[in-house]
Amino acid sequence: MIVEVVHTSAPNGLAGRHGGFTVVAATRGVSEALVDAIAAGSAYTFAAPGATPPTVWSLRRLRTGAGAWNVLTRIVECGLDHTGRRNRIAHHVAVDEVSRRHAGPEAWIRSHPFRSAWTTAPRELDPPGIPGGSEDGRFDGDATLGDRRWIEAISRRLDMLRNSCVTVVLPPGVAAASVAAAILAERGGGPAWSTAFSTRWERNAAGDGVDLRLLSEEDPTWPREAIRPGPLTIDLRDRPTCPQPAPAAAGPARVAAAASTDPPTSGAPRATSPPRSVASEAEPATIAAEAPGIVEYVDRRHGARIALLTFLAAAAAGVALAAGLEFSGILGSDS
Amino acid sequence: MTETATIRLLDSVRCPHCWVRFAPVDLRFIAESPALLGDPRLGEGEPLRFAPSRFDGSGAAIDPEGGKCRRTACPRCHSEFPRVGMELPSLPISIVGAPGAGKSAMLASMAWSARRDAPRLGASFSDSEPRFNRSLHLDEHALFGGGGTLPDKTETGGDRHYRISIVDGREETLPRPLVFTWHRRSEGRLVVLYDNAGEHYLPGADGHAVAATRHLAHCRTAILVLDPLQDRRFLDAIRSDSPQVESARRRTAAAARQDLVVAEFATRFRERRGIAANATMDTPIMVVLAKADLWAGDLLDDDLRREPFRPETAGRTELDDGRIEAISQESAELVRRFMPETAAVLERLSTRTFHVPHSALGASPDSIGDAVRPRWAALPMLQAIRLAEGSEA
Repeated sequence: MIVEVVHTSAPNGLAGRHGGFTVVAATRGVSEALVDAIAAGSAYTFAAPGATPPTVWSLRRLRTGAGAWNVLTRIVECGLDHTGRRNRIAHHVAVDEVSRRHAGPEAWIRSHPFRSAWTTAPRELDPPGIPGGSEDGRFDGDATLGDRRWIEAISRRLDMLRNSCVTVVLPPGVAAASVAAAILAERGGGPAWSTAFSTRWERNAAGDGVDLRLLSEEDPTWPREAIRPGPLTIDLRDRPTCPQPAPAAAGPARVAAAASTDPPTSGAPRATSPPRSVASEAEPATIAAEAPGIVEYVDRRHGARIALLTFLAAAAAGVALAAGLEFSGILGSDS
Repeated sequence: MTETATIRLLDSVRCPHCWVRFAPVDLRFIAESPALLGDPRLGEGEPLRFAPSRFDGSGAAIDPEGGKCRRTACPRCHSEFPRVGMELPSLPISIVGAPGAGKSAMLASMAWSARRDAPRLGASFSDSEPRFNRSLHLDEHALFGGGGTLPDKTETGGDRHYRISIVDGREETLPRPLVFTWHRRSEGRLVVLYDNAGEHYLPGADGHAVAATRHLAHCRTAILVLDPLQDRRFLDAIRSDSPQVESARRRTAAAARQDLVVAEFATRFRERRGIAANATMDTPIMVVLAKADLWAGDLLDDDLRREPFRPETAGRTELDDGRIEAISQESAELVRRFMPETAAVLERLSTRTFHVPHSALGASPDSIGDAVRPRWAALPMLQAIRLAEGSEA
């Protein structure tokens, strides 16, 4: 099943809903609770007056009692509402597990007619058509990022750092939606649908899974100071060349190689400190095991404690791997 | 009071985000070292919250990377806790109203004017920790920064007005409070305001707005914003032909049913406080009749261009209580006349309702340009504090 929901500020909402920010269109026959759950991801941060209003794309997971959904969303500013204030329109396409097989999210991004305004009365919508397969699912990354290998490298990084959020800062003039489509096409099928992403800065609660954040240089709404070099950040603003990935290796050697060379984005020109994940003399107590999750330590003063915890974490990771589970964790000082 | 005066901490405080009560000694500190970005409850964009074990001579906690930390956080939801809240009793105030009623504009002009007018009353009203009030500052800038534009509509989600935290293992959307300090004579209060989207108060919206409107259970007073321009009966009594009134006339059929919003507010107010459905409370309710520049000339005897202060002597003044009371009675009578169902709900809800006409802009948004002159703008804040302090006594 595929459900469309359109949410904007309007005098009246669909099916007796009140005015204000409200649902003005939804696929026929869908429960109000599901429509509301889908529409909950409609918030938008307006740019300062005069600045270019950002177009926000996101793909998020939504679990309901009736099953798991993946919700692809596009939000744009759309003039003034009936009260004379700035308005935005959020158009959501929610796809259930069955319908995921017919087309990947990149096909929806490229082909679906997402709305940029709603000027008519609220109404129910017919189920949308599945996007056609006119393309082979691949994307010309060279045209977007200047180096096709970045798409593969970002996809690899997502595999490596599951349960973390990878932030990619895009070069000027690059449409985040195009890069998102390229990365999703690279991942293909189920993994693509499972890759929750957003093109805006969201301070998500821990555990609220956004796997990939794509930030445009032109978007004025995200805090520049929050971008820090490290394995979770790929800064492409200066269009760096993507280095060759490290050869595959097993066990700890592979971990070290992956952390230091694949992809070595912390070496991007804007980076000012070494990657946090690399065990080095310069940063002796910042240690990470990156496969398949990440264990990150923050205390560089208590070497013995770190060594013990490293051992315990490695053992736990080993047990988890043997059991086929994912393992991830962070050592803080919170109780 | 000298520089060396001892800081007296309260025995217990309440988090203005998640409402847990705890002792100040249990506060977490917010790491300042750049390496400590990422918190298990707030996500990777927020610095780590930690229980301190080391302090420097000035009382700053030292984080695990050696950073000196002064910002504090709630031990439960990890949201930042205003330090001054350890010393001053808090006075939470909820702001309620239908979508488009003018809550954000009222709040911006109220805070702007209260900062200015409080010293005339021998008091001070200030942003104790301005970073808490960033969204309000944006709205104030829109109104008073020269453009005279209306604040953006308040979203029902997102970063600007809400914070997502993992509380007791569940993800919750918590409203970001606006924090001020109020001082008069030797008394001080931490005034905490909540500006939700009007959509959160619509009937049926309680499901996803439970955490976002939980402040209704704890507020000392509520400011209920009514928009006369959203009510056909009120509009019919207004002779103004300003573009805003004409526009309101064209779309009253589409306006939110304010009586239902008030009924929903009353229901939640009672439910959250565990009060019987037919009980009447003594919690003060400030009823603000917004956009008064467009209707007060037709419907009130007094001239709101004259602010509600007595003439100044020696740089000091007082609120003109007699005049304020008279206008409150007159405004209450208007609500009874044009919105009787709303008046009935309010009279059943609280024995202490107080009505105030208010104009955030001083003129229709189409005509103000850069000449924003709010009318009676600070009064809801000053009166709410006074009523809440009175109910404490």
